[in-house]
Amino acid sequence: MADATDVERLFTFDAVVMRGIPDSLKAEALRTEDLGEVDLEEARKHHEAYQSVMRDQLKLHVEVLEADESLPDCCFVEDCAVVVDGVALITCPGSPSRRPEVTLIKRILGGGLGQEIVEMTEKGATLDGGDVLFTGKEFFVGLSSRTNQKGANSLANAFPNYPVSGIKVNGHLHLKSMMSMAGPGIIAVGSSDHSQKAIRQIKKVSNFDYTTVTLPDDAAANCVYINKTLLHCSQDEFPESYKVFAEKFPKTPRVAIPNNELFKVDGALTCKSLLICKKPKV
Amino acid sequence: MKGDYKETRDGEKKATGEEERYQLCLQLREDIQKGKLPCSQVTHALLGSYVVQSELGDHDPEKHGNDTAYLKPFNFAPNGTSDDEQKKLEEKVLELHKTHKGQTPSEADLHFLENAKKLAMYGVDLHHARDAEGVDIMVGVCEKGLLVYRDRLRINRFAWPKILKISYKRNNFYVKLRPGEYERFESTIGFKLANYRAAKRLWKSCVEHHTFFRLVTPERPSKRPLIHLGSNFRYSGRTLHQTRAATATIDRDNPSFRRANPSTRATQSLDGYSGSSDHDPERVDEVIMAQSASNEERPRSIIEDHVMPYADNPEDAHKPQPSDGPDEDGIVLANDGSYISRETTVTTTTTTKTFTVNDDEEEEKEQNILEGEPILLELESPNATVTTTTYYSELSSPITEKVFLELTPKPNEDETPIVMDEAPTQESSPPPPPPSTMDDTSPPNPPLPIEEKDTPAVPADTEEDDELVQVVPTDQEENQPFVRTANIVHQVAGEENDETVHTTDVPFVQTENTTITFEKDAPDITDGDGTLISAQTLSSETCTTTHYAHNEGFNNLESCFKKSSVIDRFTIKGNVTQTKVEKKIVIQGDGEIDHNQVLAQTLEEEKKSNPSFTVTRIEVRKEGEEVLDVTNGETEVE
Repeated sequence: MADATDVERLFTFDAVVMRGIPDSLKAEALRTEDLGEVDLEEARKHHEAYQSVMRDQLKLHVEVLEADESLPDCCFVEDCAVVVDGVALITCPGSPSRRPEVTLIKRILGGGLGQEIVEMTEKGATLDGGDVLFTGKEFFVGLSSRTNQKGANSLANAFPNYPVSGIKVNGHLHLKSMMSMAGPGIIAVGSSDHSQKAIRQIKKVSNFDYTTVTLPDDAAANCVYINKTLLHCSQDEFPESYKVFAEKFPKTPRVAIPNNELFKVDGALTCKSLLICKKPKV
Repeated sequence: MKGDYKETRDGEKKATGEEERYQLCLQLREDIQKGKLPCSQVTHALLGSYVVQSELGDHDPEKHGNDTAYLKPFNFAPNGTSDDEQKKLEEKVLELHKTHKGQTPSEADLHFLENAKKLAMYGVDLHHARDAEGVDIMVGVCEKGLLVYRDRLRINRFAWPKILKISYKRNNFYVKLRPGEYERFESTIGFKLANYRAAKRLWKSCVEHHTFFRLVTPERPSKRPLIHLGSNFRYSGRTLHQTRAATATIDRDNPSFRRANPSTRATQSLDGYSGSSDHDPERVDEVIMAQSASNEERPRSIIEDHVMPYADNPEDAHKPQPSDGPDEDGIVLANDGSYISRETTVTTTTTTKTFTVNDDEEEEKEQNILEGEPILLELESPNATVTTTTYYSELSSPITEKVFLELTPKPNEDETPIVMDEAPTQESSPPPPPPSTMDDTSPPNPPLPIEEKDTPAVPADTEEDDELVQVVPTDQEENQPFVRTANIVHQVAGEENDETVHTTDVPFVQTENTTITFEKDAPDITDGDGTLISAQTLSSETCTTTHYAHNEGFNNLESCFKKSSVIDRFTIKGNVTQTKVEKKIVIQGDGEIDHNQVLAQTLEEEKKSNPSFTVTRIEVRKEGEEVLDVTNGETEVE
């Protein structure tokens, strides 16, 4: 079982993989609701800001892959792989239109970034990276419209060192649409019924104890904890949730990153990147 | 090597010597080989490298060459790994082996164990089963409780504190759980095993794990009649607590032992050391942490989070909840006080300990005990419903389980007959699923002895009295048309001077109280090696009163009142939390009423509504007279 320093180590990265936003996203990207038209220019500005934080503030190597017009959702690279401790599980996304996205991801992760590639071989298994919550000590996999039992099982096979538990997801696209890691042992979760139900499930089956920080807005519960820094929503987007972050994390360096545009197509903060440690830690 | 070891995640350094660690490594290597302990390739390589270091010592290019050929005799991964993967694995092992220079075999074993115990499936004893819907699953028994897996995915988890009872019946395995935060009732989950043996094996594994990891001392199997159904199996080794306590006192040299290895190791000395022995590195390995014995982390119990903080003064804990019933002393005076009433107190307690239930009302026969068999006899009667339900006590859960088999009421001058005889039907009826917790159900047989109470349990009666009430009947004149009154002398506890003595005249009611107490004893925590670290008892009491009108030709005056109170007592002893739930029903009624019938009916009602309670005591009391204790008294289980 990992101890505190082990966990912190697992949230320390030295490289990030992102992908550009294709024009086709505006019209063709998958979305659960119609929340209005996406302003591509705004969206790309936010994307730049995100990259800038990674590169300039956190001093990470940022690999930005070229957008592919035939893949309108390709900027959401999180769904294509689950990377932990030098092992990258290449997923089979639940939505068939997104499956070709993994090809480039696999090449990049296995190539210069030196990750050990594991593929999902079981027929019928589907998994979206956005459904996988890794706490540093165990995995919770959301069983949603995109991820099924077999897919979750593939994850368990790929990471046998960690307990993997299945969590039913309702009312949201992915498990991480409702919650994410806000620090070692800290889960940020939304306050909707669905989110609360999911976190209760987690508490029931978890192998370890976690603290929860509840945000008034479900979408704000998706934040990125990386190298002892917390990236979260901006004050404009979700002022109440922003306040909670400020209150509950007074000592943690925080960066607010706007994301209103991609939010319209179910894009959250964690969706935009794959966090990598180039040298696998053994 | 057949391993029957208990895997604890922090025990390796503390509890074992060098040889034991070596044996454990061998067992784990076998488990990995068989696929019982899944690992990533990286872990296979890491563990493999420690094995090689332990067996071959430092990597030496002269002896081992510069390639992986010297690793051929070793098997690092389960059979079924492709050749390609094997090659990659061996290369990684070579790389890592080189980095372990200087490690002794003992140190290498230690590193091996440290890494092995981090694996998700370490210490999990898996059993194939099917869930209620017929889906193939695995039930895993481990240090923390039970796990349910669908393939490799965990779909459920039951920590020991959440489990009230585990039992098996035929090829089914049942787990009864405490109600959750938002639930009112307990729930039971059932699994289907391949056959009876498998169900029993799973049950036994639970007993062993639970006893080892959760209890201070193992439970003694109860003394039972020669012929009985079901298993009396209990874990008989030392618990983790005892092991730690014992190793804290061990101080011995490492015995020399020979390590088996696939390659010849002529350079290894027989005493297990390699290299120089100017210092004794092995001594360090046998780390004896005396403080670990006493700083045992108390298993967390869910109830504790809600009920604690502890009452420093056990007395405080006995404060009863506000009740809407009449006064606490259990004596309900009739409206006009003009009749002689009899009071029966029926106390029931929840029993969550499981024993095998003998539904067959067999005569006890003398028979030879089969040697080595934990079960003396297993009979499947085609007629009666044989319940091979075995209850297992969960000492760390708030509700302690211990069934007390019935008592032998002493013959007494009071006309109250033995309760059990009154209601034989309840005993022998087949228990509804989930299986009932009733123990021996053959009324004519002498009951099993009651285990000694270890908790500073306050007898039910004294809880009510904050004051000492002496009832002194006044002039007893026969044919007195008026209500006989009694002088009640109140003496407030704690005050010694007589000035505070009050006297009141109250109608003197001769009441007969029959108190039936169902008790749950504390387990024999202080028995044997265990030490009573601390004991605190808290309790909460809820009272309800029902006015029970007996309606068989009696007039209004002849009614009886029934008051029931439920007392929860939490006792914390060291790292064991135990709760005793005692329900006391006081039946007070007119002497004209067939008191015994009321008693029997009450028992039946209680049996139906609370099947997990058992009668432990029946007390008949006539007000103004001495309490006649009709119980068997307390005898210690052997």
